[in-house]
Amino acid sequence: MSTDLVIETRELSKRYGDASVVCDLNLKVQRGQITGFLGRNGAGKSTTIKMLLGIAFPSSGSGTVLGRAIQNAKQSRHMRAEVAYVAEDKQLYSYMTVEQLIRFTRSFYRDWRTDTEQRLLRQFELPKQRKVKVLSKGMRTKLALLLALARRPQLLILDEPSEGLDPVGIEEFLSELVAAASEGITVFFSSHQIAEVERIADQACIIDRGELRVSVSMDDLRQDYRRVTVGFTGDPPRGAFRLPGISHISTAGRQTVFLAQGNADAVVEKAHALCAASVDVDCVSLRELFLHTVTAKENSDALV
Amino acid sequence: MLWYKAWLETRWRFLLCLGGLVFFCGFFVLDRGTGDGFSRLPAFAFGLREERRLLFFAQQWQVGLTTIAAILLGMAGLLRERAIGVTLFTLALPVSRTQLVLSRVAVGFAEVLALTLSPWVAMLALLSIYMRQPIPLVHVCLLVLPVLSGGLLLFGMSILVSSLIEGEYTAPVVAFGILILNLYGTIVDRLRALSLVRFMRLQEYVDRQTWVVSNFPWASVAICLIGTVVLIAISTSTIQKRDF
Repeated sequence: MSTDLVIETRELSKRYGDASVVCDLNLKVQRGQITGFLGRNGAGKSTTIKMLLGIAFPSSGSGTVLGRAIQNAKQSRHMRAEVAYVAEDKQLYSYMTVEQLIRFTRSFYRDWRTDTEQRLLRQFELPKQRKVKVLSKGMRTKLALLLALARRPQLLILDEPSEGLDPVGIEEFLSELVAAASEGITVFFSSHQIAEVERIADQACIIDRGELRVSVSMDDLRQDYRRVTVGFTGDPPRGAFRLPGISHISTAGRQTVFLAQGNADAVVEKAHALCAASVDVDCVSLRELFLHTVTAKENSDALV
Repeated sequence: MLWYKAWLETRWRFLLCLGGLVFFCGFFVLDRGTGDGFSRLPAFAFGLREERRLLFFAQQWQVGLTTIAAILLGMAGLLRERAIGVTLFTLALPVSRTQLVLSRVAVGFAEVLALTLSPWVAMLALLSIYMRQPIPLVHVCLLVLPVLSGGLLLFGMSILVSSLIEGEYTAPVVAFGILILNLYGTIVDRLRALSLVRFMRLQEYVDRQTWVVSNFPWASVAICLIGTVVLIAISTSTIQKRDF
């Protein structure tokens, strides 16, 4: 098990009855990085996070977080002392005031940073005497982030963190994540907001139907992934572009779009050899990669 | 600080039940003890026999209210938190599930103990101040023990039900359903031996002439306490294995 890996799972699976929610997941998250965890609703993101934190138990497979086995209750408890988690719905104890909740949470962490607590209280304008139940979802999100950051975690896990925040709140939130990462905190967050992931993440993992489809660094995405759009005067030839490194292919009319990983040149060469009318090569955005990945099965009939 | 959370969760239920119990038991003692309401307060002297009788009937009141209170106090925990969406925050804390359950149990035990003893403190204070009666401590202890042990068993049952059944309102309905079944047992001959409420009220152990408790059911007290421990152990085990 590498010490550079903060999260590592091996063939991790979760089944509820006959339904397989997570299948043989091999996830690796590097220390000190911001990793975005993308997937559609029901793809298995939240279940994966729950398994990592010992909230749900794996049906099979294994995993470690900060070097501690997630299946072992004692190790999982020690691990949670060094991990902060912000859940998707940000529900907190409604019967406590902001101050009571901070005091309650602080009691579990020896390295609690009072300076961070005070700074975020001021920055987020959180009313200390107000009950949590009367806070808006945005304010609850900010409070949850305060509770997560003030405990000085090694790993920050967030499930749909920006949901419920206004644009200003999102900016503040993303800035805090980047600042946390610059202090050496590893950030692992699931999100539907691909633009946010693309903006701050070092690594992106895409999960679909419980399977990890893509794990790519943002640098590799920018350097190696290309979208090659080839136009033909007649129907596109079928089967001619079965080349290594072509991740996804779709066809619309006389135009075929290839998603090439590392070998865009080979696609271009092949297109010219087939007398293509036009060949365009562009960078691939994370959004495109995501959409191609999660709709790959639906588009399988479009393979040429 | 888990005890603090458990206290904040149950404090209004506890304080309402405590206030209700102290008020009803105190009212009962004043009302019955003075013969015709409060008109002859404070000096109405009566004998030890009447005093024992009075306390016995006050205990019948207490049993009714304590059974309800014990169930209400056990109604919380991770499954209820799951129903309201806060369970992920709790389970992400660096504490074991056993600690989560046992902190609730410890606070609940203390609350049941307070609910059992506080009405007696009030009643005995009223008796000694207004009626200038000596306190029959042994008699009182024998009346308190079944309420306490039965209350703890009902609390344990409530904890178990709230560990097995999801939903904010489903678990209380099931727990009170079990209590109603138990009450039904008090009026059916074949089930009478299993009736917890019947044991708590001690009706078959009190001499109706002298109002002295005799042949005290120590075995039933022990069974209640052992049963409480077993129910809590099952609850803890259930919560440890459960997916959230």
